[in-house]
Amino acid sequence: MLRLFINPFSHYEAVLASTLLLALSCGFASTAASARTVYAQEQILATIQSSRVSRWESQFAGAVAANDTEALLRSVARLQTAPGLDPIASAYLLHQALMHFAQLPESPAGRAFLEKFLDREQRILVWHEEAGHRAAIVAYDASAAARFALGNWNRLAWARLASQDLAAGRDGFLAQWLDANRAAGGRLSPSGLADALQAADPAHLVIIRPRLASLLAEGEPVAPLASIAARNLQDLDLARSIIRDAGTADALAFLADIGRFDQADQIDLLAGATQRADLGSAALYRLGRIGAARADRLLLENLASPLHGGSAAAALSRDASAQRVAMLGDIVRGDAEPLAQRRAVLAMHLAGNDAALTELRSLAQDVRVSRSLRELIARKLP
Amino acid sequence: MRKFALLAVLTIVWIPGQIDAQCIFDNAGTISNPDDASCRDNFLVYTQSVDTGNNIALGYAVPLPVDSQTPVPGFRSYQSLFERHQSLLADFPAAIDGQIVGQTMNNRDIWAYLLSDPDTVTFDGLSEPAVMVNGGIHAREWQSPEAVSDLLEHMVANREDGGLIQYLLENINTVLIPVLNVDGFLQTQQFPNQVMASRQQPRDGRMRRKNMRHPTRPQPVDASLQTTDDNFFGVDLNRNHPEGFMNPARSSPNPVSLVHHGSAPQSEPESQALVAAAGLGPSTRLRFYVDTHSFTQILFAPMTGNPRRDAITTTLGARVRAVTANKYAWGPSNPGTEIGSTDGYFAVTFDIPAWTLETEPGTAAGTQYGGTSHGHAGFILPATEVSCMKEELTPSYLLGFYRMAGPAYVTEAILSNDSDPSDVYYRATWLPLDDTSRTQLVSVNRALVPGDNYRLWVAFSKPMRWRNLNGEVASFPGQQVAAIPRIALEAPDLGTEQVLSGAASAWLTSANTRPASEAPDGYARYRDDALALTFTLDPGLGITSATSLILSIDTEDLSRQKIDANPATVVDWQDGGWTGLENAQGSAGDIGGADCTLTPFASANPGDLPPAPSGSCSAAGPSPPAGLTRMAATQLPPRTCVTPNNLPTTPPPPAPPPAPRSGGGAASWLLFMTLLLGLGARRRIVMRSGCR
Repeated sequence: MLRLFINPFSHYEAVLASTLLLALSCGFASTAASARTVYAQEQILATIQSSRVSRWESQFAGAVAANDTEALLRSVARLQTAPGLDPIASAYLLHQALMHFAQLPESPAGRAFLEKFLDREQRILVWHEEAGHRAAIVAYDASAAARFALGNWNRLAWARLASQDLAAGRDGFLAQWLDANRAAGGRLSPSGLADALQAADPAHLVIIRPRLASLLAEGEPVAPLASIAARNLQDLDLARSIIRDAGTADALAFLADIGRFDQADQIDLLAGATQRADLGSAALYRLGRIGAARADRLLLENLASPLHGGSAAAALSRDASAQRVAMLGDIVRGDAEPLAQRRAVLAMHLAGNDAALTELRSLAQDVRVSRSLRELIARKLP
Repeated sequence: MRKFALLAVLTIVWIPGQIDAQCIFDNAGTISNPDDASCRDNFLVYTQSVDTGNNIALGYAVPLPVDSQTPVPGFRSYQSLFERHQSLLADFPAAIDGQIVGQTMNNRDIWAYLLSDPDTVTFDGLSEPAVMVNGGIHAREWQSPEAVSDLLEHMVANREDGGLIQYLLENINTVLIPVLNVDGFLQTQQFPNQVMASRQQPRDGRMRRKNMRHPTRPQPVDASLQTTDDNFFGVDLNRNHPEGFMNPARSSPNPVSLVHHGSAPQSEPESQALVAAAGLGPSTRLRFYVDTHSFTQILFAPMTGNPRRDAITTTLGARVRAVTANKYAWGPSNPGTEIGSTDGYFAVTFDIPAWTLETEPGTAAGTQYGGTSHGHAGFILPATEVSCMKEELTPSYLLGFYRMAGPAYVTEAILSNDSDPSDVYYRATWLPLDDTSRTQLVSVNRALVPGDNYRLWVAFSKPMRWRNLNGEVASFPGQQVAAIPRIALEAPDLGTEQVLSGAASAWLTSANTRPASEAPDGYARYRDDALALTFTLDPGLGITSATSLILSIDTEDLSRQKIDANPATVVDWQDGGWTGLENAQGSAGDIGGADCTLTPFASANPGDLPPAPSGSCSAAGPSPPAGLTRMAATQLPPRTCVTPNNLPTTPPPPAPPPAPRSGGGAASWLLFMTLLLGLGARRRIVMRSGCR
């Protein structure tokens, strides 16, 4: 019975609050937009450290602690009528309040209030000192704060939608998000969906896995989601698809978190990544961190790569054990390609440890090494 | 009851915003209680979307350094950047040399890279000038090492492009320091999302700016955020130079200050390394210095009071800014207001154009990419924008280098039979005598005959035009030069002239295939450094007997710098201006003008001998020809970087019903509701009307 009353109340309370705050937001916007005064940083710091500002912030904090969106709306309404607040304090506090909405439950009144600020220039500018000059930079931008809060609410809304679909064994949220992303010109973050997938039961991820794989193959921007599924399901096939089909940033992010796979699988995946020009270097560095013999062999094989040989050398140099140094020395003395030999020398130079320097000194005297390489080694020895 | 509950909650929860009060700032904006645990031990974390507690939300993903030598959509780790430089050094020793120019407070090597050919002279045997770009002087400005590294990578990758880059490598010394403040940069990368102190002025960790100098002991502060050893210490390396050292308006003796100037000019090993790097130029040959910072998207340029240097700097700044369609603002400072920064040091000490380049974002800081308005967020460029920043800055640097390499001059001109390149009528070549002068060698000079067809081939000392991706002659982004020079054959004694340049003129983009004795069919040294045109000598000039002609050539290089009108005097840089640069009237200055030094002749009688040159060309007269017709402006390719956000143009999916709330009796809610129903209905009308 109580619920029946509470929800309608919330609605009308929200209508009231949003109505009051509409006027409030207009007042804020028009006041600040007309005055683009630039303040010294110390002036701003002094103002926002004042006890009066702190009291207002406490009010906001109370609303946040109570998880009460409408209470925050009411606090901001009181802020508008507070006598004697200077422009810095006013803009700062409005900004802080708007940012706080991000952590409160979404409400229609709150959304309406925030949306009013999206296109409003409401800024405090602060002098940014550099090189004997100063530039006025934006601080406490109400529109940015409103955007942030609304963005967080949207993110949560996408997460809720995805969670509901996942729990119901549906993948419709993917199509819904892709449509919205297309409408947004590809600028829509998948972070809300990613939140949901990250928290999802693996059994639910299994259901959407085929759809994710097909979308990825079609070039749709679902790599961040597929990456979560691949990692949480330990799905090697999906991981290979990501390395093959994902854009550079997404694929690199996946490589950075590849440690959840078995070592042997990691090496396989990284070997695949070395075939891509944009991923090869990062993949070789990852291989270097594994330290397994098979990984090292891959690194040694890549020394002759015109594009990634330097990365292979650097990866080998970072933990240049005596064993690695010996292998590098063998390459320089042997009949490997000259490019590989030069990169082996580079690896030892980069390592710069006792084992590497000892080996380099030895190579500089070794007649099995070409004269030009010996000269190069000698020239660079400390 | 509800108020009481609220108060009770307030007493037990952390209060957002209060945290800023834990660091106290003095009137100069410096932390005045660095030893208070509440300030000193206050940890904050950058996040994408959490702004509560000790979190600072950026509104976009917090960039993390990536181990990769090839560029990534974001920032590379210092170690892999360094290894990238070293790999290029190992692979392309003919184009890049590297030197350790000093050590940091932590004894880490500071490297400078010299991009040049192995010799130290230009194509015509003169001492090469030098330009220098510093990066990573302020640790938190990650844009800078990436920007300087991109420049390095671009120059090495295009070392044999046959055009602009090859010209730069073979004719100037480019000194690049990707990371000067290595210790500080490493601390920021070790803590890519952690800072200390205050939301208003976050310090150390990701927001370290200074070096690691401890104010009272020789050992540096440690980089750990877990110890109290640091205490916001360090010297601002951009306040540590002699010009304006200890300027109280912009620097501080307080070792806690962000702009602490240090104990003495160039007291810091990093500052000394910068000076040592300039020596690779060598410093006596320096003509241009850029210190790369972030942010606010502006060129801060100290004016020194030397009117010539200041004017050249201003023009150079305009040309460089035009590359990015003036999205970078211009910020000149008044003479005598230096603050110990590196740009002031180079501008005053070496009397050269020098500035501080503040990369993007602009003054909107992080909000430029849809982020929050924490002012310091401008130091944290979204990873998604890094490649675009580099694509815009590298051409800007290159244009500056090209222009400060010096004004072009006509190196050679050949008039030949239009259909027989071996049938040469006139050939003049400028040959260096010493570092300051040249002589014109005229090896062939036969009479041109009115009505006959000829081909003119004229070469310049540098690539003169740019080509777009389709291979068409186009303006270098933002430069709007004339496609074709104004070239005329003038007969001063008769008061007539024939304009030769026009539709039959073409810049040459292929290498010459003909023997040296013949008129070339390709460029001289670099793509587009030579132009060829064909013409019929106009009988209307009124030439009957041997008549001296002047071949006047009026053009600009691809940065819109006019050519040297008189190549007999070698152009160089001294005391803040060009030496040996003349205009068409022969006056020395910094502008240049039409070259009128080439003097073929014509006659109706092919066997006539050349007369003594006489008269002056119209470009040098009281009514010079109209200006050049410029090509349409070209711009850099459209920016393609996208920083995703959660605000799509379409509304988000409908939220599930809100969770039920507790508290209050049903009767009171009903009363409230009844009252508010009426109020709400009234207010809704206001809401629909908006506030316009």
